[in-house]
Amino acid sequence: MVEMPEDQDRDGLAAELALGLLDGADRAAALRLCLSDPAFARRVEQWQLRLSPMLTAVPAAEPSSRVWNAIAARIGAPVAAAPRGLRAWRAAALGAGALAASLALFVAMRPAPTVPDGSMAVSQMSGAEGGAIMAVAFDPRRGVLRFDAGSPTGTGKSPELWVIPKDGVPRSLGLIQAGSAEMPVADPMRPFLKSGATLAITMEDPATAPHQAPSAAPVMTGKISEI
Amino acid sequence: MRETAVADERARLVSAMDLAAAGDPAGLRRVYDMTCAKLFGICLRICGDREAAEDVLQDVYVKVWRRASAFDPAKASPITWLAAIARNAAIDWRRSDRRFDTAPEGVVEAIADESPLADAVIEGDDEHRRLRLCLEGLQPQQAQAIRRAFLEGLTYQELAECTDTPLGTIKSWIRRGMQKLKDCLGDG
Repeated sequence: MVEMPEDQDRDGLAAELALGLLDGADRAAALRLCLSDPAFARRVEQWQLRLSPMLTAVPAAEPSSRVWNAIAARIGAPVAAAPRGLRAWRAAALGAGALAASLALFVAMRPAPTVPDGSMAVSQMSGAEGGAIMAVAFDPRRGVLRFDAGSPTGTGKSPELWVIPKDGVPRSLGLIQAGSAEMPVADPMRPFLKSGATLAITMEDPATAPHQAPSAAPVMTGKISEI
Repeated sequence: MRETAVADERARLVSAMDLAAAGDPAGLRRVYDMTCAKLFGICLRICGDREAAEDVLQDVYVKVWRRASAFDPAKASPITWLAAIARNAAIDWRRSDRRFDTAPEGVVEAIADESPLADAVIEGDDEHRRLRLCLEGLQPQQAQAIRRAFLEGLTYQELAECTDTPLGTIKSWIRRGMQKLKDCLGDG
């Protein structure tokens, strides 16, 4: 009580605004203060976040489908079918990636003796059924990906490797050659090999590779971590 | 195991938010699919009207789309952050006009007994548990006034009227209650 009653007042006002108790001119004045005083705005936000967990108790309710359609129109998202295949594929790849990432990463990588940008990206890919596991390492010095196991095979199809960065758009890194433990990565693709990106393998027609987009569900996926 | 499931769900939501922050509408769609029922419940409770609540819900996700990159998982869980945006939008709607008659009787009565809440318990939400314990440590009138203001979107004036309590008394319950709450939560 001895110190800074003003400060306490400010915080009280922030709490009142956060609770939504103010109305009319009082509310307008407090909202103006939010704009002119970032410290006050932060207090308001802190109060909102403090109280917000109470809202988990509010019963859920299902909105009608018009809501998403209106949102999609406002943010310029495709409302209907066009990229649905890609979306579903991406959801499958990212979902599986999250699963794979939760496995213990037991890959022991030799750190390259001299790594120009100091880090090496690794990923442990696993098959959709969780059986097959393949460790992948990117050596930025030589610009190659290395695999510790044979890549999957399929009749008439070849494994195509994709990287899916944060933007969710899969980009082809090319075909993995049968029996090869290494694969060069084109310069423009290298920056995508970063922590948090997902690697995925699909089985594709080798005659037309590399492809703009995958045509099948991934057979293996994994998240990249940098070590 | 339940905690693992909660953590997984949270991680999935954070990654969908990341995707939305990177400008991918598919990310926002995933956020929507995972959270729209929860957020619509909040809008509906505060707006008290289905159609208005759906309009508000639209604004909520357009805001989330614009602000996704400002979300910081170190500061709040994604659902806490999203719920705060939904509640704010609903309060803005209520305060944007003089809507004395918007909280339908049924809604208010259903909320009056704010006992805790099967689904929060099921979610095993730490943040909520902590807040609930702190609220329980307040005087009952203080806690009740804070809960009603927050969950029903009532103003001081409305609270005073519907509890038949002088305005000054309500204000002091809330002010003292909020100060104690902050001390109890111990986060500055």
